Amino acid sequence: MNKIAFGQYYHTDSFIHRLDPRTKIISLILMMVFIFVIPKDQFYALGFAILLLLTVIVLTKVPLIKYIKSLKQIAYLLIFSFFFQALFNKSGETFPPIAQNLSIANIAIGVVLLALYLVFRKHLPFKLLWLLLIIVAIIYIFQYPLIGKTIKPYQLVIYKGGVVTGFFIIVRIMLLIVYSSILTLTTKPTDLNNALEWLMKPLEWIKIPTSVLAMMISISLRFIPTLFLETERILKAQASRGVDFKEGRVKEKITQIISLLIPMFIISFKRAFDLADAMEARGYIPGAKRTKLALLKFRLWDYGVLVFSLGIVIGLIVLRVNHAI
Amino acid sequence: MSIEFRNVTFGYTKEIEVLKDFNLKIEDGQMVSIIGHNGSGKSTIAKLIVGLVEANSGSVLIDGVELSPENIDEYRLKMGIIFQNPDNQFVGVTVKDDIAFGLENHNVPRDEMIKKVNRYAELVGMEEFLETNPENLSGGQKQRVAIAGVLAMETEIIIFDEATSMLDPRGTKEIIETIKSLKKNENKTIIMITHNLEEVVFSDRVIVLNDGKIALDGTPREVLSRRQILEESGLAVIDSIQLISEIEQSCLPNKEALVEALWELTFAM
Amino acid sequence: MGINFRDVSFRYNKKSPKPTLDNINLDINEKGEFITILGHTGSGKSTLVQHMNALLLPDFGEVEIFGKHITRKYKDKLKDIRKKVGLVFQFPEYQLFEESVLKDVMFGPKNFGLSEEEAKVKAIEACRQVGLSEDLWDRSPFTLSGGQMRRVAIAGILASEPDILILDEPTVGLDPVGKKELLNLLEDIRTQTGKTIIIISHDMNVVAKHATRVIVLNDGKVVYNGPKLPLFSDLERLASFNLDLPDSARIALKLKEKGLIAFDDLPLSLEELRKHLDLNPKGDSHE
Repeated sequence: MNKIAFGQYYHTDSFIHRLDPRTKIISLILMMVFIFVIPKDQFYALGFAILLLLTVIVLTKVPLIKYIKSLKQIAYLLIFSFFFQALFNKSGETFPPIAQNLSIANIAIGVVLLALYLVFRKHLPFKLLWLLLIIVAIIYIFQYPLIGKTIKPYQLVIYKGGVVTGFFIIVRIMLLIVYSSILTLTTKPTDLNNALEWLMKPLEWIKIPTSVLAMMISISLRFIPTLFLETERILKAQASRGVDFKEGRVKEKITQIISLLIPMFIISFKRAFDLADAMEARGYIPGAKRTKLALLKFRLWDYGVLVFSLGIVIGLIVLRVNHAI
Repeated sequence: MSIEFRNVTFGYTKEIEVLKDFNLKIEDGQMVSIIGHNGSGKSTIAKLIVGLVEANSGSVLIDGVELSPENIDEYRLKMGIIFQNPDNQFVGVTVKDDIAFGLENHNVPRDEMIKKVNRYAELVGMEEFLETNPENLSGGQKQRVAIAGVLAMETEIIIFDEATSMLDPRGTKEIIETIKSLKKNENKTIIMITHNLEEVVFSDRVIVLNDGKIALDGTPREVLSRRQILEESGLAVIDSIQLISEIEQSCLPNKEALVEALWELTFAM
Repeated sequence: MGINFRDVSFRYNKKSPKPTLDNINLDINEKGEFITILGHTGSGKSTLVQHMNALLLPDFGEVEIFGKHITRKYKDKLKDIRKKVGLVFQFPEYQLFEESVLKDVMFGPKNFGLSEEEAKVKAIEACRQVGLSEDLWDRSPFTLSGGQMRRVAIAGILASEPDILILDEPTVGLDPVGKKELLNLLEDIRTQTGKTIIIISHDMNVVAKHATRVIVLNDGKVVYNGPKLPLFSDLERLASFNLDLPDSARIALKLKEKGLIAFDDLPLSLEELRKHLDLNPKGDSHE
């Protein structure tokens, strides 16, 4: 049976791995605050955050490529945000304007280049670099009408303020994502769940059943790999009956999806009933007091990390309030 | 702990009554096998004992006290049940967590919990798998974890509700061996529900259910020799029993020796 | 023509050192065989049968299925293969989903290109074949008993009229009567239609009673491929494969030990055992 690695957790023994999960969650929140409190043009503060991030990444002993992967998801969003800011945020001085002359010819070429990119994306390594290259190429080509007359001349004006803001926005987003990845790469899902349960305990004062919610999450975590296996099984069983997801009109596709969903529902319902019986028979009463095997314990390092994280946030706020930055 | 059913009538729906005026008494410390075809009511008996369902009429008594919604939580502390589907009763993310689940519910202090988890994991031979996730375990291994979980709660009644029917022969053998050693080493009331005749040979008492009624009730040897009733109750007669019955009715010269050898074989299984 | 494995190797986890299937060579070309595939859990049985209808493609080697050469690079359509080689998984009742029994049985044939009317005809035939009475055909499959649901699932594969029918542990979870009925059903299908039946089973009694050929897998390799008597007669080898004897064989050996029975060939089934005991065949005087 093939073993399934669940979620993003990457197993290694590192300083960060050994920290209490509560420490990591609280530090993450504090780092998020830090990143957003950095004023819009303070490169030194941003540089500090980046340096700190790189230090923590090294401490996690997780291969860099895992972090890069997490950024890949939002790469297109980042590029779009940057260009949006660079082109439309009119603040500060401007770079020398680039005179552009749009003509039917060069617009057509631009469209063709983009279309080619979309089509051949799958086969290209370093997709993002290619996209950036194409954008730069288009900007360059748009300067010259090439064939025929210029139909619209205009000045491409890029404001320095816009570029800086764009840069800050994308760096902030990247920092957030990588810091979050640090949490999920170094903490087992069950530890996260236990930490969240502890952190949400105060909510019980306003009648929110945190222990029941935590149990629900724990059971979901337990069954996700099982569900994957069962989905695969149902897919294979229906494939043996001729289901082919690659073909079929809309009506057939709906039946194909139903042939997957209904069995999954039924298996899940039966499981829910059986599980409820088993849990009840073993004395589980939702909301009742119960002891726990898992024990979260703060150690010296945890206090150290927490104090440090709190310290830099407070330091930054103080600097801002005093208009030092 | 003794268990008694007094005139119990029960049906999952109004139309079909699975048990009607059912009476049964199981003494403390007995090991009883309840066998019958699918739908004969055997699993229902298990559910009635642990209070997962309530009788329509009549009463279920534990140590002479009638079970009711008021006292079921208290009595559940003394009962453990292992169900059929190895996956659908495995609650914990790891073996260790699952064995501890019942102990957590019973508010056992943490130090004691750790000791018990280790002790009972070792008892069922799963001590090397304490940190393993269930999807990396076989059916037999998952059932052994379920047994450890019930043993850890140190209950007085243990019920095996078709615990082997979804397992392959190796898994079944593991479970049967575990139950056998349980019987030898502990003094608990053990109820084994199954539809395989081979599994009942080491019980103290065998009860055959047919359509909600007791068709046979006696020692394994007494029950297994009633081939016709067993067949009428929808049970497959094992080869050795089949032969015993045929040889006894034949005129073979050495039939006593043959029959004795076959009985010996049946109980050695 | 049938299913032929040539030097097939496969592993689920491409980085794993041990292959799930290791250099498999097998030929299944005859009609009307009843083949049982045996082996310990994890020996590769499920993986093997999933190569037989191309649910899995081999990493190395080739599986020839009714003339189609399936290798790692195979890109053509696989539907024809799935029609000719019908595969029924464990607990097949979990693949049911339609509103009525008949509709569910029609699902397979329709996917393989039959019209609504044609599919209905085949579905009715298949339902009759598995012994589902007409009053059940319009009912929702979920209102049936477990054993009946399993028969609906099997009918769903039979309706597409495969040449080879493969079942992964078809009797697991059934009670003894249900088990016997299902195996007799498979036997009937084999003798009446001449289809080859392949089952994965752990039950040696099933092997003893029905198998015309036994394939044993051990750690991904085929370690035995032949008739059942030589397999069960060599006790040491049998134990090395982690397999048991059928009940009747065990009884026979024990009785021989005590000098109560004599035989040359090991009796594997109850019928053979009776003969050696000079017992009248069943159905004679006891009913």
